[in-house]
Amino acid sequence: MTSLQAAFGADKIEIPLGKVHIVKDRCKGCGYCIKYCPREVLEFSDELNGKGYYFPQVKDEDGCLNCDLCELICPEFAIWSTLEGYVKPKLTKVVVNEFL
Amino acid sequence: MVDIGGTRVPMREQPVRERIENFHSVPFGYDEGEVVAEAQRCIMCKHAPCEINCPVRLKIKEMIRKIAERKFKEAFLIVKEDNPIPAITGRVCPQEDQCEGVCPLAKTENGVNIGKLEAFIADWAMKNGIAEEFHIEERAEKVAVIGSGPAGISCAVDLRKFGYQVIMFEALHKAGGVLQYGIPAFRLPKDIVDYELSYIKKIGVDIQLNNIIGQNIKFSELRESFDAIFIGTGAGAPLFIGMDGEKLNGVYSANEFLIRVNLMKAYDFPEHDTPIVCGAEVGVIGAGNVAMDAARCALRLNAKKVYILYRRTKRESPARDEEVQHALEEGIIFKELISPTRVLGNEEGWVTGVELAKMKLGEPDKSGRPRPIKIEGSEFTMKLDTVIEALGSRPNRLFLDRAPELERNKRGVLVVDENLNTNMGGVSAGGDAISGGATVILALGEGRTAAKSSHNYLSKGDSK
Repeated sequence: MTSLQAAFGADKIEIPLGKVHIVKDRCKGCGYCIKYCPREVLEFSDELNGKGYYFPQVKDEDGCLNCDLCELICPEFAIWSTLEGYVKPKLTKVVVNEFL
Repeated sequence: MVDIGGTRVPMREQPVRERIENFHSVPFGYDEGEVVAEAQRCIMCKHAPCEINCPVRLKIKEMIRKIAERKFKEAFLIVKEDNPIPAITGRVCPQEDQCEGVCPLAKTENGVNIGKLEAFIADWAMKNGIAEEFHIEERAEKVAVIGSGPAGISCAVDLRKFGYQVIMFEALHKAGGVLQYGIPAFRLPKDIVDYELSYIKKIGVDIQLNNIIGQNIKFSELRESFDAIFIGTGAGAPLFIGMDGEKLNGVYSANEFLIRVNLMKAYDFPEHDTPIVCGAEVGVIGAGNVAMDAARCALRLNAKKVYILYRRTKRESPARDEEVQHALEEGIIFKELISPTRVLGNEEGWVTGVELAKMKLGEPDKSGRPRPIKIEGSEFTMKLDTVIEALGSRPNRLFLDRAPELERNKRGVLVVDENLNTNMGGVSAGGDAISGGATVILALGEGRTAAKSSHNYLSKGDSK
């Protein structure tokens, strides 16, 4: 790959990295965030919150894209995500011209 | 529960048995209902990784939003702002490595089918005669664009929008560069290429066909009569392995094979003047997009068996997933982990087969893919009537050899800075001529950057 292709991002596939914030005592355990997270970042916790519901917890720290679907969908305003920065995805096929 | 994201709307395609007999487009494209349903899969995520990873920074999220609202015209105008040829990039971009690959939905399902949405929007505008409207403030400066491929097109369109008088020079008898001679019609129908080119003519770009700069017109003459020059001469020179027997009849470079088939319409011989010899058993060396194209063209030229001979495995193939998928559906046989060592021929000088060595995969090299290692003493032979080498290409020498004043590196590739200026003032370069074989969308991005730096160069004079 030439430095120019690099400048145009051929080797620079980047995705946003988000951090999930959960207020566990607001949660009523509907499970929407877990079901709808496109990156399958969340799962039910084993413990109960103050209201007696199983709340979500993060199972894949690096998986969140900060898409904000959980924030949109949560009926109790108990979950949201913030942007941590941009990272290279783990498994991306990089196309290069090996003859240069 | 409602299904957010959901599964991708399937693409209707020509049945395999029919399509291997013709050169018509394989996917039919979405209809209005399907395209809206597909656009509604988008979850409108906050940071739009698809846009971040698009080489031309297309406003993909806005486009999808407008499609979901059935506002196709607005979607088209959004696309056109950043991409002069959406009908083409929608069909040939490696989306699974760029926008679609980083879509949040891509983890569990396929990402939103952004390429097909883009192609639909462009086709819809073409069908309904909708074009972008803009006001051009004419300027007197003249700019020459050498080469009418993707890089040249995007550079010419942008320069024209800045108001310059743009003249485009093309060596062949048809404009479009690799879009015309390289990519076969079943991937990119040629009426689409012609339509996009008629658009650039309409906005006032003068296309001069059959003009080889350096031969018909000297580069020095061009520099005298134009204020700025863009070089987008592409990578038209094929690479060969350099093994014994490559001079035999029936050994083609993929470039020659595809030019004969696509540009000269050899499949329609004798209706068109160019003949082609394609045997019953064809071996294509390499597994990139060009190799897939050559293999699928050979199949459509009535080859009985077409083999892809690749030194790595399917997983490492640099081709688009869709092309590999289509090739496999059509019955092209992948022979993995083998590398040709010699081409065998008969007394009359025709190919009879190849000698191949088995390979194994080693440690990853700098491309991140495992390095193939030859297994000594594993040579075997294979009977073939036609051999096509699709190993990549190098910048075209036709022009570069006649412009020795331009600085280049030891591999013969033009040296440019980050704004794509060469060592000569006012001369910029882009596309495959500086990268030696990349994608259409990268060429588009480079064309845009070059147009901007030419604009900066030419408007500097204003302040003086």
